[in-house]
Amino acid sequence: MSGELDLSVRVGDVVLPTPVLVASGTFGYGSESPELTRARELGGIVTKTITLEPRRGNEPLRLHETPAGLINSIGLQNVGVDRFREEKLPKLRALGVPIIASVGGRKAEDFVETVGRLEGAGGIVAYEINVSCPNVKEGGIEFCQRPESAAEVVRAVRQVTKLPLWTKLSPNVSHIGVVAKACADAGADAFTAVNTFVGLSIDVRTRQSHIPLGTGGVSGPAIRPLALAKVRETVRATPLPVVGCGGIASTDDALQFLVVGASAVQVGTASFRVPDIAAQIQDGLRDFLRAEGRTHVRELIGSYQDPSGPARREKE
Amino acid sequence: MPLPSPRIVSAEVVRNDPLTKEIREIVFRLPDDWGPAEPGQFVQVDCRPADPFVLRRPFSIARTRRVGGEFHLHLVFAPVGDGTRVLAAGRPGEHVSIVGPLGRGFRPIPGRRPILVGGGRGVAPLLSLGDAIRATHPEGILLFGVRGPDQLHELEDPAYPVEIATQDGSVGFRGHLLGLLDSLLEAGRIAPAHDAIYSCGPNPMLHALSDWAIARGFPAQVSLETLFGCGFGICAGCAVPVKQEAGEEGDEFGHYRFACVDGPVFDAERVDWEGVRE
Repeated sequence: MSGELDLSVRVGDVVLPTPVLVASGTFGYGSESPELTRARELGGIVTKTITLEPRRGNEPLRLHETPAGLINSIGLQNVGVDRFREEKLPKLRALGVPIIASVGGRKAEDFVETVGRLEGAGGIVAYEINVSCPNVKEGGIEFCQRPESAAEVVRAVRQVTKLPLWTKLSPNVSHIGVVAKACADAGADAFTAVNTFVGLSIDVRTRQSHIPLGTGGVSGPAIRPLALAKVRETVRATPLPVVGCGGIASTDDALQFLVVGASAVQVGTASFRVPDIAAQIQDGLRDFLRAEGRTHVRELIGSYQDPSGPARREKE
Repeated sequence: MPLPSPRIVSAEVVRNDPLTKEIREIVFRLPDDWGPAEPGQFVQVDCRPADPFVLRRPFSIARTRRVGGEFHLHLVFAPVGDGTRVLAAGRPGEHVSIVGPLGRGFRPIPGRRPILVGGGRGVAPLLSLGDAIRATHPEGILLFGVRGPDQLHELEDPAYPVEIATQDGSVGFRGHLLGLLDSLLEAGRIAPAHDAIYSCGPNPMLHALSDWAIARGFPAQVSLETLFGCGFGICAGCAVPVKQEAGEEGDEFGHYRFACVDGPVFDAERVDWEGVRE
């Protein structure tokens, strides 16, 4: 039976074996406990964000749980591009899963240099350009808050690679579609929507934030409907494919993002509680297709009956 | 020997009983081939099957036991938080999802007599440490410190003679564990030349104990109390600041280690307590 089902999807020129990926920063470098996570079965792995230099990350505490959500303030802790390429990438490649390398930086030149050092490394099918991290002092979220800054990063990286560029968008903007259009004009191939929402939680006894830096990024089921609305807006803004992300923890959640028009989805925080949840969601997608008598998951993408009428974006 | 791979299992509650007014013990039935766990390792328990929790709750492994062909996991906890209160209501026959065994446990030092120092619920993993090393380390001592009778419970079949410290003086030594250690040192019953300290308890206690041990030349290992996101190294949430060792340039994560994979047990002298939130 399962042989007839086709979960493969395309994100632009990238063909993925399934539409379920794991999100940057929520799956380490991909090779931690692959049995626990069933990493080898996934549609793709987006790496922790890689920066030019190693980053030690933010001071603890870095996490605070909120109702159906999680505030994080990790601060892009990572080993830096050189050690990623030498030590982490070979292990990741051995899993046999499409790799999307998430890249961050303080300024456009950092992104260019980092991508330059990853070029030709093998196994990477696309770059995710993280212009939306809420937890770093420079070069995070403010890229997205000025569309031209985000576009400048995309334009610069476009010069040094032929691989597809997925721009990871921040939801902390008034009009995500404006940022998406600017990045599309600069040469982006796809979007990941969305990164975490800026959030705050206060210990009323000490009058201090639960995390030392004050605000952090909120993820988890709490943001799911907010993220879904942002994905809809992104889908309608440009003809480029969108990878949906934000609070996905079940097959139903993943389906909502596909139906609203995402070509694939990323599972993040949910992997912390259920390490193999992304693989379980794939199993659930197969069950859903069987139950509806369908063979291709692609038939579901963009099938949302939008009260505002259909999106003007081209369908594949 | 490499550590066994962690697994996700659905564990049946065998019993769930109060040990004292404040402390409970829950026992799960696990698959026969689970583990073996290293003393000081932990498990991540899914305390509720649905929202609004997004994280599991970590528990040190108190004991693992074979009982009549069944494999049992013991956890000791105080129902003081939202997750532990749910766990306290778990009835025999119910199933709970557990991920483990996780982390890096105690590394017993050959030839040194173990001094196990447990603060409150922190005594639990020291029982399994005692179980694991009593053959190789026949001599030892177990110190159990609590505030008073509401936290004090019987320790089943401890590997070593037990000395109790209560802050209210109701049982045993009156005062903190450090006071008890001072008195043992003065009496010549413990000595830095041939003993080693292994401890678990609240972080402020571990901090004070680490300072005490380092100042007197005792090697010491401490099991930190930390908030975990995932528990197996993918979220970078459980950063513990450590002191750089000589020649450690190019250290993978700067001054941070992850409590879930590099710990939760650390050498006391490695922990940079200034950066640990207590």
